[in-house]
Amino acid sequence: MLADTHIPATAPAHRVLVIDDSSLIRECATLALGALAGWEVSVACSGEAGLQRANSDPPGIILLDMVMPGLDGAAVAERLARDPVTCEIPVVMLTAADSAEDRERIARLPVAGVILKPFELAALAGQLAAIVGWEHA
Amino acid sequence: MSLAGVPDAALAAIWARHTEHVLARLDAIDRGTAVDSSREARQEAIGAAHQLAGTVGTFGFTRGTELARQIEARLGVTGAHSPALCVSARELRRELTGTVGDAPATPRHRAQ
Repeated sequence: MLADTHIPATAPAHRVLVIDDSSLIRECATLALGALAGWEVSVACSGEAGLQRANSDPPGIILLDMVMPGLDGAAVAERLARDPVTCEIPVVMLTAADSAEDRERIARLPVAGVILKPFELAALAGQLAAIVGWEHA
Repeated sequence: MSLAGVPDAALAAIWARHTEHVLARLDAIDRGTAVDSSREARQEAIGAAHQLAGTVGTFGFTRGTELARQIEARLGVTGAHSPALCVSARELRRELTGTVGDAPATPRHRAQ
């Protein structure tokens, strides 16, 4: 089973919170951002859990799934933006939906960028870093 | 190493841990694309296709992503059984399992 939080042995340069109801996506993101990129990765399996974690232990960036049961990514992004503790954290939406309607909907949300699923494991950290302006080898 | 530097073992381990989930989603698609499928079964199939479309490509199943997207889109538009949907569902299962009923195939090298 995937541990709730993966912390690399070396000191991480960046901290990211992955909010996704799919354990497969959470594991892939943890592999890509933790084991491969050396970032500190925490995960949440629902929008509600993600909001709690982001507020109690604010990360440097949030990778947020768009389609989830309960609070979906749009609702989570809007709540994060309204919370004084989390409003400055860049949110990157992760979505498999790429229609014009989907793009318009996401464009209206308080997010820094979008990454389409399926994503490339080896490229994910670079994509996130590019969106938020982090250095990444 | 495979998939542009991602260790084979790590990738295969993740895929193996989700074998049952992948098969369950393929089963849901089969139920939702059957001739006598209920509205609930079709909705479940749309969700299953959406999840597969968003994940299997990460493991190199490019064709699987295309098929899952087709199924999600067709079920969402027509909401009804069609021969094309059944063909896509069978091809998706074959793509992800090797043959019908097998455990999911191993992750593939991405041709990029």
